Amino acid sequence: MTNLGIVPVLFILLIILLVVTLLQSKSYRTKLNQRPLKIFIIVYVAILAVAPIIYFILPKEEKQVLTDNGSEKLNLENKALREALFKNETASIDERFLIDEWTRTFKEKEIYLKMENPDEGEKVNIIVQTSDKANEQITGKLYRKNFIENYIYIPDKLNKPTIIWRNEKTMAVKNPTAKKLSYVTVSDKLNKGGFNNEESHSVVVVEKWDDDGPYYLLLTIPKDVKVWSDEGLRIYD
Amino acid sequence: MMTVIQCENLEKKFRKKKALQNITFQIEGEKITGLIGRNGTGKTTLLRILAGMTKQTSGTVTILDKTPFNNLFVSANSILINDQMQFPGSFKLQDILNFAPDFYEKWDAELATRLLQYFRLSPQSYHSDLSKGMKNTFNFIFGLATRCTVTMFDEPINGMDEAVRKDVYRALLKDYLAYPRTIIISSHFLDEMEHLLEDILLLDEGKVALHKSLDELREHAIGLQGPADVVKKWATGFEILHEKQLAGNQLYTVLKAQDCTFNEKQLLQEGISFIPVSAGDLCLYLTNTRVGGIDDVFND
Amino acid sequence: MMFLTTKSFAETLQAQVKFKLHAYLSMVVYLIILQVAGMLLFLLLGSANMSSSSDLVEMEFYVFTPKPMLILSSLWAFYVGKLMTRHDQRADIMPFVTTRTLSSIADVVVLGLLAIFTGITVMLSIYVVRIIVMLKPNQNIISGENMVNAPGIFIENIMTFIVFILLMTAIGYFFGMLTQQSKLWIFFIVAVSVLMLCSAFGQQVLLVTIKLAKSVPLPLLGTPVIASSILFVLATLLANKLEVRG
Repeated sequence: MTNLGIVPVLFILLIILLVVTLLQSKSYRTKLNQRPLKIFIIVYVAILAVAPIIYFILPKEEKQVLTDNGSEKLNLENKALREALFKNETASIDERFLIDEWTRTFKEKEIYLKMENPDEGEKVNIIVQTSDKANEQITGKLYRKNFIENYIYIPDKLNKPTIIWRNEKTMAVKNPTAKKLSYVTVSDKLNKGGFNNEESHSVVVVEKWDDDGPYYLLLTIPKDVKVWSDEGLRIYD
Repeated sequence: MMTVIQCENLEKKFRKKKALQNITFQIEGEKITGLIGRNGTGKTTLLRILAGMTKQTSGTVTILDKTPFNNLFVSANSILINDQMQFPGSFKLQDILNFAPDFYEKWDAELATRLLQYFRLSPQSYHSDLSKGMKNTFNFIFGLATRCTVTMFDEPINGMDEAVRKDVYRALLKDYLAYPRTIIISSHFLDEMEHLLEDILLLDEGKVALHKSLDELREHAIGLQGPADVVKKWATGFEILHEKQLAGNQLYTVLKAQDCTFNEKQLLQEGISFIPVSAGDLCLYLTNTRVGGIDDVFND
Repeated sequence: MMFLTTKSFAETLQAQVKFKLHAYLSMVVYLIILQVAGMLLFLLLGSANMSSSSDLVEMEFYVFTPKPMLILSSLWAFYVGKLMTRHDQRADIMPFVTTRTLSSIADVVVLGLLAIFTGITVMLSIYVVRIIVMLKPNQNIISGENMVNAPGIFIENIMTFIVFILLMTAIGYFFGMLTQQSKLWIFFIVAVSVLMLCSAFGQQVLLVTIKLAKSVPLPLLGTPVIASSILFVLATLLANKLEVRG
């Protein structure tokens, strides 16, 4: 909640002390005349009066805290994405989910899929598909579902997983590192504990499919290649 | 003639100390009254009661037929000018003058401006920056320009130099003649302003020692000076207000005149001369409770 | 026949209020300085920051509300209330037409007007904070309650702030009048408050008082308004009793 350290508190106290001393020593013999005082006050009031207008006029990219409806809609999209991936209906997937795509010539007869840092959780789900054509090529498509954290939809700011070819046969996936994001909210409300109103949200039921990490790596491998996988790697085929 | 100020058995106590007691007097019509008394005799307290700033402990006081304490009518028609007057720190003299007409219907802005100019007070200076004399000059101008029916000055000339004092007296007299009103001035400098006053209200130790017109006051006492034994002989039977031993066995005595009549010729023959007693000196003698003078402190 | 002035109470009150407002202009300037200081401190130090982490994001949240400006302004309000009761500010030596009662009423009106000014400026100052926050580059801003999406909160807050500031001025005014009577009151009040807070019995009394105050069927702002009125009336009675030796 309110996380004011001791230093700012002391700082504020110091300022107050200074101002009070200033007030006490000056109030008897203030040499500020009526006119400059009035001008000062009028300027301040004008600034305050114009501030809301400027605020509403200025172009801004303010994010909204998701409502229950909003997050449900995004979750449904995630569900649809997952189903489309597993049913191999990639054509029906919205382009915004696809964040990376690559092709690689692959002449080996087997492939090892490894996780570079498995202890950091399962953030990438790998779906392996075999292609009918024997074209000696591997294609990878990286999808990311709608990512919601703390009722905030974070579409494009996350770090991506990286793919490393240790050798011709071994592909390692490196989990993305956590991204630092800071959010600011300014509210008219006096007692704003958090940036969102937790009480206004219902408890979200986590379904099984929702357990997936946010990334899907769809690998298309020639049909005669054998796939070996590491533990700690989530592979669907 | 209308009674402007009336006090009856007025008493004021600060805790146990009696600042004023048994004050009874009335001031009628438009005249300038001098409120005279030594330090700490209750002049300021009396003026503050008259101005409605303090409440008396007992007795009655009316200004224009109203009790002054917490009374708007009295406040609107009277003003007390003293050196404790404070104005907001951010106000220049001009700002003060600008606000005055909101409060005082009879405010004479032109007079105020002209007097300010004459006394070389810049309308752009701050009240708190003025020296004591200048502050009192400004306060005096302020009081005069309000043209209040009852205008009271408490030691208005403190800190002013002689030239300014003379101008201030003159200004007061001129404005009074043009716009007669009831004015009370308390001061130590009675001699200087004797010519202004019609009445004298003398306070002594919180009591009214005397309230007379200046003419009456002048006839109140006579001074005799001559050889000590002769003067003493003549003074027997009269109330002696003051006595002073002079060089060469001469004696100066002030007697309460009452209904005494002296044979001037005979007095002169016996080497006694009449010395008129100024109002200032008389007031001093009337309120002097000490035995002897300062000289006696140094005598064995 | 002499010409006497008969000014009505209302006329004089109006003139006194105008005069006192001008006399307190410098106080308003100090209020503004405090509010600006509040905003700057607030922006520099942030407020109410929280963080939450998951595997993919470490989120930090900074929440800005009008609270610091309100706290600083209420300290000012207490100071101004107390200042008004100072010897040199009172009717005794103020040279313009007034009476003690009228002067006290004018004080209350002026404090009321200052409270309204303060309440509104505190509420609006948060919009200056908004603009400054928006001008900082690389910010993720989440929209909070504002006068457009939550007008109810905006208006309710202004009312609450005004009443709260008024209460602070009333406390200052009453406290000032008490200390004008005798400086011993300061020690007495401090001692009583310390005792109340430290002893179990005192805390009990406080809690019961708060409960009683809450149980009175009044609208939300009723209690502080009534408390302010009582304090102002008591202070006015004290002022009428006050003796200042000239």
